Amino acid sequence: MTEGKKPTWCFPLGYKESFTIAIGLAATGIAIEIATKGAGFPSLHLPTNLIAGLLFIAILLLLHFFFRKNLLVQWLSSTPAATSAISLFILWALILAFVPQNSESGLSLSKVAGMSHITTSWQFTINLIFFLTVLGLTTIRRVAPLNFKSIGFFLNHAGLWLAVFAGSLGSGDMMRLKMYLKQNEVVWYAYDDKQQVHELPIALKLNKFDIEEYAPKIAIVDNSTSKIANNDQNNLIEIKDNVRSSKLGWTFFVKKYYNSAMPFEKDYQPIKTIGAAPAAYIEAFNIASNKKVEGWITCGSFMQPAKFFRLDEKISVAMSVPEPKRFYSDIQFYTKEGEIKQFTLEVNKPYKTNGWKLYQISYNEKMGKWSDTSVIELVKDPWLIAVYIGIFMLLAGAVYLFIIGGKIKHSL
Amino acid sequence: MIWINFPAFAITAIILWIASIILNTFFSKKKTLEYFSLIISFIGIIVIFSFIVLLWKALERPPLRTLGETRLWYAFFLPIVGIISYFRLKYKWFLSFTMLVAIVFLCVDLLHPEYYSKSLMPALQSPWFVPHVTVYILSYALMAAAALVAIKGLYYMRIKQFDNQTLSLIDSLVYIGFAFFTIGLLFGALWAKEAWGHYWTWDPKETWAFITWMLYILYFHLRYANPKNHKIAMWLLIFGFITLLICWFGVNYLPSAQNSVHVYSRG
Repeated sequence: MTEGKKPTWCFPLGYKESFTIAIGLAATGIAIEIATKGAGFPSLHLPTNLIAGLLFIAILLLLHFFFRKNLLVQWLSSTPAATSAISLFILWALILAFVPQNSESGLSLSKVAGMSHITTSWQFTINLIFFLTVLGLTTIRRVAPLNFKSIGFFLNHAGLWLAVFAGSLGSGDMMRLKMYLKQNEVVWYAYDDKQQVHELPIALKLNKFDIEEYAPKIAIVDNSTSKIANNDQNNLIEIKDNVRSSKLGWTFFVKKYYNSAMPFEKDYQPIKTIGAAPAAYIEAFNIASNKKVEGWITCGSFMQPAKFFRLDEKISVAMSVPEPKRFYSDIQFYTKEGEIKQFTLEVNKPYKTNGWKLYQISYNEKMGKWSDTSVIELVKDPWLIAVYIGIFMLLAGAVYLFIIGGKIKHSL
Repeated sequence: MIWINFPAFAITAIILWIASIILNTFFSKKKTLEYFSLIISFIGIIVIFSFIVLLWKALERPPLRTLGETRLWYAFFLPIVGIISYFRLKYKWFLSFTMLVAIVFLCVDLLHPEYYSKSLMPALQSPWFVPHVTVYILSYALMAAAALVAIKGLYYMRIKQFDNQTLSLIDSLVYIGFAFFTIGLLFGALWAKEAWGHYWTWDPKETWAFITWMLYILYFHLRYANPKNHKIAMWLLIFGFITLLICWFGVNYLPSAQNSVHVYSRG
C-alpha cells in the first residue's frame, strides 16, 4: 500500500484525496443540519435499527465478495481512507470538548450547524457510517480467509467495529429513567431526560435512605478568605473524643464530641433527630502567648446554623462538613405479576432484575442524611451484550499488542 | 495507628527496589546477579504486601478508602506486572521501569501523610479503582517516555543520526503504552457501567481520552502505511502526549468539565 508520485484523483487514492472526501462528507452533514435547523439525526429504535444494521452488514459483505476489485471499494479499505475517517473523528471530539453541549439557549449558530449536539448530529453520523464502512471492509479483507496470524489484527479491528456498531445503533433503544422515591410510597413510573413520564411494569418503594459519614474535622480557617488556612490540608484535624493536636502554634483539644446534636440554650445536647448535626467543644491553647480560647463548633445542617470561633485576627476554628462514606437505599421491589423482593442500592453496587439495572444516583442534598427522597436510575440496554463482546475483544487485542510490543526490531 | 510504621516498610522496599534496578540495569549479564535482582525485587513486593495486610487487619476493612491507601496498591501491583512481563515476555527494562514508578508512589505517600486519611468519595469506592488507575499510570509513564524519545529522534533527524534502534525503542514504548491505555479506557467503561449506568457518556475526561487514543491509532496506521515517514510519526507522538496531559490534568480546568464525574474535588 505504498504510493509513488501520481496525479491527484487517479486511483489508488492517496491522503490528499481521502481527506478531501472526508471534508466533503463533513460539509454534507453540516449542510443537512442547517437545512433541518439543527434537528440532528433521528434516533432509531427496534426493529428499525436492527434491520438497518443487518442491511449494512449485508452491503459490506456484498462489496467485499463481489466488488473487491473495484477501485473505490479498494480505497475504502485503504490506510488513507482509515486515516481520514479517524482524523475527522478527532475533529468532532475536539469540538465536543470545547463547545458546550446541549445548552438550552435558543437558536444559536452552533446549534443550527449541529455543533452543540455533536454526537447526534448528521456530520457525526455520516462520519460514523464512513468509519464503520472502512473499518468493516478492512477487517473482512484481512481476515477472510481466516488465518491465525491475523488474530491480533482481528481482535483490535473487529472488536472496535462491533463496540462502535452496537453502541451507536443501540443508543436509541437504551432507556435511562429516573425514579424519585419518597419514603414509603410505591412508585410505578419514571422520567426520561426530557422529563417525560414512562409507566413501568415494575415498581419501587423506598423503605429507608441513609448516609454513613466519615467523622467531621476541625478546620483552621483563614478569616479573610473563609478557606482552610494556607490552603493546606494539614490544617484539618479529625475529630474524636479527647484528641489533642498542634497546628500553627496552637494546641487543640476535643473536650466533648457528639456525632449528632442540637443547640440547647448556650450548649449542645446529643440527640438523634431530623436536622441534628455533629458538634464538638474545642479548647485551643496558644503556646507562645499563653492564650486560651474555647467554644462549640458545628458544621450545621439545613435546620441549624454553623458555629465557629475566632482564635486571633488571622484564623478561626470551624468544623468541616462530614464527607459521605456511603449512601444507600433500602428498596422494596414489586412487579405487576405480584412478585415482591427487597434489596439495598448503593453507589457502585447496582442491582439487576427483570431486564433492568437499578442504580442509586442521588438524594436531596440540601437535607443530607435526613433526606426523605432517593433518586434511583433504571437502565435498560438490549444491545449491551454486543458492545461487551466488542470491549472484551479489544481487551484481548490490547494484551496481544503488549506481547508483540517488546519484540519490535526494525531494519531499514 | 499502623501508618506510623509505614516509613520503615516503605524505605525498606525502596532500598530493595533501587538495588534491584541497579543490578538489573548494569549487571544483568551475569546470570546469578540477574536472579539476585529478581529475588530482591520480589522481597520488596512482599514487604509492601505485608504492610497492606497489617493495615487491613488494624483497620478491620480493606485499605481502599483513602488516597494514601490506594497508592499502596499501585506500589504493590506495578512491580507484579513488571515481574510477570519479565518471566512471560523477557522484558527486562520493563521490570525496572515498574519498580521506579512504584518507588515514586511510595515517596508521594511518605511525603504527604495528610493523604492517609483523605477519604474517597463513594463513587470511587470500587474494586475497579485500583486496576483502572494502575494501568493508566503505566501507560502515561510509557507515553511520556515515547514522547521524550520522539523529541530526541527529531533532533537526531536534524543532525542525520536517526537510527533503527531509536525507532524500535519508540515503537516498543508506544505499543506497550497503547496496550495499557486501551485497557485503562475499557476498564473505565466497564466501571462506568457499574457506577453510573452507562459505559460511555462523553464526559470531558472520556472525550480527551478518546482524542488521545485516536491520535495513537493514527500513529500506528502511519507507521504501517508509510514506514519511512518518521517525522510526522514523531510529531504525532508529541501531540498525543500533549492531549494525554490535558486528559490527565487539564480537564479539571476546562469550562466544559464542570459537570464531569472525574473532577473529584467537589466531594
